[in-house]
Amino acid sequence: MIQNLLIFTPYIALAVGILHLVFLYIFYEDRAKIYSRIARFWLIISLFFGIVFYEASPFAEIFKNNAYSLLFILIIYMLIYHILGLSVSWFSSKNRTGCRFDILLLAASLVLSLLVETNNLLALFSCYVFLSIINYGLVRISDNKIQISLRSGISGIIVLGLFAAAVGYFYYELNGRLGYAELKTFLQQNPTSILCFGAVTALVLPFFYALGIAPLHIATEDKLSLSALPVSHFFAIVLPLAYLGAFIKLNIILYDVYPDVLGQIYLVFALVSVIFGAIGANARINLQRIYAYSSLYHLGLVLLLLSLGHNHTDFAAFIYLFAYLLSLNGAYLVFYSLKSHGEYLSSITGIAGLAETRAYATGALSVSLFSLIGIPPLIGFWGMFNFAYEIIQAKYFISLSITFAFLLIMFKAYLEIIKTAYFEHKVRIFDTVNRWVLLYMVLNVLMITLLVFNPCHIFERIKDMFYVVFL
Amino acid sequence: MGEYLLLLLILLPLVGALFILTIRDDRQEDIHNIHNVAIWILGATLLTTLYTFSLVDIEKNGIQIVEKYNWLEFPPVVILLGADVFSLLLLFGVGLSFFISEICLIRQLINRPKALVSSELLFLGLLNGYFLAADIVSFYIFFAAVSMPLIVLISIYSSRHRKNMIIRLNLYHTIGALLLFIAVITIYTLKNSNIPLNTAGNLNLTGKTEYFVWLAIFFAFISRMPIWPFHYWLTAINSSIRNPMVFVAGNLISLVGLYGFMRFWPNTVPETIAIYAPIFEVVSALTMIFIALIGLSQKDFRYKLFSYTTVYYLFYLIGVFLPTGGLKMNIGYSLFAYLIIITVLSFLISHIEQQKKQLNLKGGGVLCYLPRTSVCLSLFVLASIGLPITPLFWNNFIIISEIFNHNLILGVAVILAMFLAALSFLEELYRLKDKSFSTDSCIIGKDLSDFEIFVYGGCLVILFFSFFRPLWFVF
Repeated sequence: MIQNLLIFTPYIALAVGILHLVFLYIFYEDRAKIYSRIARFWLIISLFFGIVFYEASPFAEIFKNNAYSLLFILIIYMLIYHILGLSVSWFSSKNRTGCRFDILLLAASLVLSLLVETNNLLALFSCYVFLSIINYGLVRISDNKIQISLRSGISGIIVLGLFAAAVGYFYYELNGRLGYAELKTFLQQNPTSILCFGAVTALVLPFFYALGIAPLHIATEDKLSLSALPVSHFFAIVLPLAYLGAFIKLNIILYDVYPDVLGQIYLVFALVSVIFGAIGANARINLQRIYAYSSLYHLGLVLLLLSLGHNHTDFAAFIYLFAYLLSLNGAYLVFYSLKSHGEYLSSITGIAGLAETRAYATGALSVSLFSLIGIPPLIGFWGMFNFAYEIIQAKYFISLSITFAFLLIMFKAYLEIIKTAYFEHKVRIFDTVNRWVLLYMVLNVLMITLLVFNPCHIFERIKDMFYVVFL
Repeated sequence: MGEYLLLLLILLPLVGALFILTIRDDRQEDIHNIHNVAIWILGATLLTTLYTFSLVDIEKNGIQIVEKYNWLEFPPVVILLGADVFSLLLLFGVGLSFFISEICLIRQLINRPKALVSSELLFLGLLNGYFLAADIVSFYIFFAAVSMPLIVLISIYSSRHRKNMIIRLNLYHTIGALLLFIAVITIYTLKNSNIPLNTAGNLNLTGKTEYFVWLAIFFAFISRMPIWPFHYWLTAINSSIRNPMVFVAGNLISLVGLYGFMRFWPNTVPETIAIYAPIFEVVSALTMIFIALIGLSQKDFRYKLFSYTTVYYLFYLIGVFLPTGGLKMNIGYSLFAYLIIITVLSFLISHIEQQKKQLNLKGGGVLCYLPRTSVCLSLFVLASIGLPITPLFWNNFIIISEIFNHNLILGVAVILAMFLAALSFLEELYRLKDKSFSTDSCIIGKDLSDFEIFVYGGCLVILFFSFFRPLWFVF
């Protein structure tokens, strides 16, 4: 009885954390850092129990905890912890408590962990719906909420409808038993059914939409570029990882039945994404929008790896995404240090002459951008090495040529940022950088530069944890 | 320590760079500290190089010290570091060049010293890695990585008007890096493991793959050298750099390309590809003449220096492409002297430019007010064009005679280009010394200090000893 109760502690901790924050809000606590500290405290408690009971599942048939889910949860929670810490300076500068943001992030942590753990289509759909609601709540925090809500709302409802239709179809066919194992058996028995394939496609598309794969990227682009900085940070670095974790699990089943067709679909979407991302990034002047398009490019590469459909290519996709997110995180951290007269800057002109007064921030930005391109010896190189190795091994030479040609175009967008920071004359006086932001920046740069050396054989451990999903 | 000696040679400057990044730079004493740390780090690197040198047999060819590091299990990558006499000589030459630069720089007021010194150490560490890389993956890693601190250095210290050109140059370099990356990964995929650099020629590649891999490698190294028709960006940017140390660092980009060819070309390239070498020799010779002529027509001494360095790099490159395998060490000895000469000339030119600005002298004759500078410049200009007391004279003589032996017309073209480069230097030296330009005998310029004379004199002594015994510093 006690053991069963203890298994719930990771989830209970997050729920208690949410209640704690609500309680504080009722009693008019107005300091953003208190909310953030409490949210981080409960997040760590949840993570601690999550690690202790990493193989115990409350409802084993629906949510299967294992090393794979732990790997994703560990990274997701650490990233959320880090965003919660950084959001304090943003909310304080706006004279806001950030209570809603903290509550939503704790709720998101709960739903994201369930999303990665789930082995059931209905639970997956439920998590997806809950996450959409949380995203909607987060988007409402930003100043441009009406514009974002309209676009993402309409497209989100269409995608949810598609997902619901697919889940409904399988619910009908499988008599309500929507476990992945049952789904796999059913698909193997009906490999030629067009309806079945249509439903499978309808299962895949919501993930493309959530990951922001072109041409389904409009809502993601808006969310990343127009949201409040901490919200955009969360959308950019946490959500892709969680969605990928859930998608890989689902994809193992789907790809097994339709390897050729799905492989081709993924390939087309991936290349479209790569092209759109690289060109789009060069056509924008808003830094957050440039990163939004950059994510389009990089997630295109991730999808290209998934299109190969092997265990090692799925792992390479994860590694690429991990390296990309770490590098992007470095670029986002620079935003937190770009404050002039209390206002955070996001336009490319805002960083003009940054190198003159913020040498560390410019250095961190350059390191992150070089890593995004995959220049050694930064972590991005490891992602790129895995990518090129798998693609050449699969003899996808045309795809490789396209991705590398557009990598150069992508690099031009990054070089424009570096050029503005180093060459343009300073037009603003930047406010003093918060020491925590500086600390996070230094730590991130160290991770980008040192993780690639595989300290303590960290990648072998990650690989062992990842491969559990194939068992 | 013996087991990690080569790794130490890479890590020492990198650690120094990280340490310098933590030092404040808002007071004069702090700036002094930055330079002192850099000098100690560079000194330690030089001593470690000398110690490593003492462990190898200088009579033997091939890699003699090897270090192996397991990096990744999947895909399996074992990093090999290796040192032979040639790579250690280059390592020592580059280290010495940076050491001289740092000593000369300590008394100068420079803009953003922390960025300069830390990027310089970072660059040196990665360049050391490039010279010591003994497998294809680590060779690529360091090849691509050296461009990173260079971008920062060039971005900070080159002219703001060249910003779009810098973007183009970086894109061009990235194309080169990507080509080498694809070639390396292709070889890696075919062999299913990381292979030592000296076995790259025994891959038994066939058909399109063979052509693709070797062309990719070839263009990757070409991207680092100012060869027609891709010479413009590198030339325009390097010649616009006014900071003498950044000029030296920027000038080493071509050394990266040259070293790449030296590692791959003489022994490892298969015959099917090597037959195209003569075409490349012709292009190199034409570029040499073309750049030497531009140098001759220019009034800017720094541009002349850049044109001289390019001519010599291409001269060494032609030496590398010769079918004779015995020139490697001569190129090494000549490069060692060349690096020292270029470094000193870069600082002397910088000093002259400053004095011309301060004395408000538009034309020549500035050396009439700076007698010590005049002597130093004359000696080093003569050394650069082959004064027979430096290793440059003797080794270049051997390389040229081999070129003549190989192809008479090519030899004539090379000699012509070198003659034009020398003429351009001598003409500028004459103009700077010409008394007819010096209008006022009362003008007193700031001449070289005793310390600088000591440093430059020391460089001449090193060159002099190297003339008689190229590896005299190895015990």
